[in-house]
Amino acid sequence: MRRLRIVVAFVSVVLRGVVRDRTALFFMVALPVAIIVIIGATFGGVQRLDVGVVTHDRGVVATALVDTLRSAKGVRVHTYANLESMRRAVRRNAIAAGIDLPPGLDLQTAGSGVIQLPFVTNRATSGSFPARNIVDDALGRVGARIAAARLAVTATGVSFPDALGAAGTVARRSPGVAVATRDVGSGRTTTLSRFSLTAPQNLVLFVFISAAASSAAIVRMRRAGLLRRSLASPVSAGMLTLGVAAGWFAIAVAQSLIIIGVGALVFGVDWGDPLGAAVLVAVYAFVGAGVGLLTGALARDPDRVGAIAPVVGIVLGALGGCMIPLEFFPPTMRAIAHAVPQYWAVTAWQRLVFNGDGLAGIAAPVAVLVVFAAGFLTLATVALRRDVMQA
Amino acid sequence: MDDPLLRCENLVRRYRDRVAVAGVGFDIARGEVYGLLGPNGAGKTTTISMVAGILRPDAGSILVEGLPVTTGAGPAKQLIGLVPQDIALYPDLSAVENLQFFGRLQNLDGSRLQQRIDAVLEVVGLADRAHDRIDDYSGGMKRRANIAVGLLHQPHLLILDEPTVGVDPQSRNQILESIETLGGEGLSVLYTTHYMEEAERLCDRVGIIDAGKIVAEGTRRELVALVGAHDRVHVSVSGDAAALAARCRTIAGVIEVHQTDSRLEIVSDDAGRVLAPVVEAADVEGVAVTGVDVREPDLEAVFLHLTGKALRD
Ligand SMILES: Nc1ncnc2c1ncn2[C@@H]1O[C@H](COP(=O)(O)OP(=O)(O)OP(=O)(O)O)[C@@H](O)[C@H]1O
Ligand SMILES: [Mg+2]
Repeated sequence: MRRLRIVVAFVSVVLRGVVRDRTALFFMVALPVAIIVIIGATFGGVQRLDVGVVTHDRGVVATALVDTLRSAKGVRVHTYANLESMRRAVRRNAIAAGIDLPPGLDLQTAGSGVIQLPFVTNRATSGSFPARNIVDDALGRVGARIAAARLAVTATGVSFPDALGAAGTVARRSPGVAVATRDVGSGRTTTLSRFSLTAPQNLVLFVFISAAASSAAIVRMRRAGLLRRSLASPVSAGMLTLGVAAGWFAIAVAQSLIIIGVGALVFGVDWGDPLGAAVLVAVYAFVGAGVGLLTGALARDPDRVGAIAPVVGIVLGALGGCMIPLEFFPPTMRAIAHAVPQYWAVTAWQRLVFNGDGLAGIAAPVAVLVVFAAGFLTLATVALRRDVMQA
Repeated sequence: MDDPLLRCENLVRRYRDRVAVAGVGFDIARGEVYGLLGPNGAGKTTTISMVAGILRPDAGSILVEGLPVTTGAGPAKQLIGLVPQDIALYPDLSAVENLQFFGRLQNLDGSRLQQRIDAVLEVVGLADRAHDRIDDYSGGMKRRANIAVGLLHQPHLLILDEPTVGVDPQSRNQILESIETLGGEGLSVLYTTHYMEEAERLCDRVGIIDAGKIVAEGTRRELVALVGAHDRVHVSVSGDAAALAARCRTIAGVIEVHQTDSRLEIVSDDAGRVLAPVVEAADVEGVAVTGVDVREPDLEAVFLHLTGKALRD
């Protein structure tokens, strides 16, 4: 009860401070929303995505794939006679990406094992990533039917093409069979706007930046002797630290909710499984609180924190996949990216938003974020205690 | 001292290699205003930080009403109100919002908190500016708001760390008056300053602190007696100054009399006691007194005597 009152006192004083601090408000609300609006206006609404297909024969699998792609919302399918002409189309930006369906696909899929399909895209174009998702999605759906058909062939002895046709209605998918160039999640029924990618990226980017930048306020609190003075009340240094941490946690949660709200209400972003999203928001807010507290406990000059923190936040954000999708990172970069919390947060959001995963699906990245949060918060607690107690 | 409100014994505190406080001990009685007088860097802030429970002593003990003061969440801190040397308030928030925050940390809430906020703002004379941001206050108003926070939870001991530094004379007087009022109402006060006039005006007893040690302690009179200083009465006359000087030497309580032209300097243990007989003697000698100036030895002199240096550089 007493602890709660102290936490509430700190949360309210910190939030009031942020609401009255124009710079903090800018990073927390204005900038993310502005970027959301800009991206929303540039790519938003129902947009068309051009996807290419090279079909060497009119087999059952190829037809099923092309049909699935055609039925996806906002997608126009262009067919090409050979891989070279499709490559040229990608280079000309006539299509965002294309997939090559080699001859004899039906025969290959009737057998067991994984089939690799060449996927052509230009990573520099903005449509590249959504195109990849749509193709993956189509492959996933067709893959499910192939799995069902294989089962039917073994069980009943009907021909594979017949079984495949019949399996069109089967929704279940066997995890043992993959046709795609990589594993895909369970299919989502609508195509995702480009904004569905950038909204979570911006959330991850800006929650970190504002947590770090607003820690200038902790530096000011320290320098004004406000924390030390708080210790003159019947409050221990531990409770004090808890209070400040709760304040920064509240900032991060408030900001996440604003971005999620604007994304959902204004641009119709589907943030995925609510429970998974809530846990991810909370855990990432703990990471933000830890970063804010640690910066605030160690830095000396609040103005420099305000100036440097956004730059560091942008660099780490870029490294963590907040600007360019992680899929397009060269392997070494991707390996380095594992060292920043943004990478794990972006990964988790992608699974929620694109793959339709639930809490179980994001357990691994969330666990890594918990480790980050615990590490930052522990270091910050030690540093802040030392400072307040003048140890 | 029997049953003191505050008892500190042998407080020691180092910052890395530097010893800031080297064995300070003092008692404060209930209702007493106690001053810690010392120059910059003497260890005043370090001492009172330990007393207020915001700094852990390397050695020594502190008891308030018999309760040990620690840096933890123990109940002793509730008996103490701290007014730090630097303004420690949220600049973006109003005085009321600041008081609400610190009140919550002090376990105050609801109508009780509101009532206390109104009361302390009245005491420091900020009731009409209660909802202005601290940032928009003048220096003196900030100081007063800083004091209000220390009074909020009705402490038994109020600790003020140089509360008049950098304040205009009017605000300064207002602050000193409100401390006199609080002291008059029976609040115990621990007051640090390097202004000896403030120590003399406010404090029942003064501890003189230098280089982390209390070098002398007592009432002003005791301290003065300690260094053997005396009151000096300067009398300007027209008439036979030499005759008056001779007569004055016979007055009880007069230690010595120096005469230069029409001026007499009468040295005494108690200027108040010899003043009337001196005027009477002038009357008898037919000498007109044109001016009287009483100079009591001040703590500045005591400090100089004890440490061999001036209180302020
Ligand atoms: N946080 C700190 N780290 C290191 N040294 C310190 C610290 N605080 C105080 N000191 C040193 O301890 C000594 C006593 O300082 P303190 O602040 O207690 O003096 P003070 O009497 O309050 O001085 P002032 O009148 O200037 O406020 C000084 O030498 C000071 O430099
Ligand atoms: Mg000081």
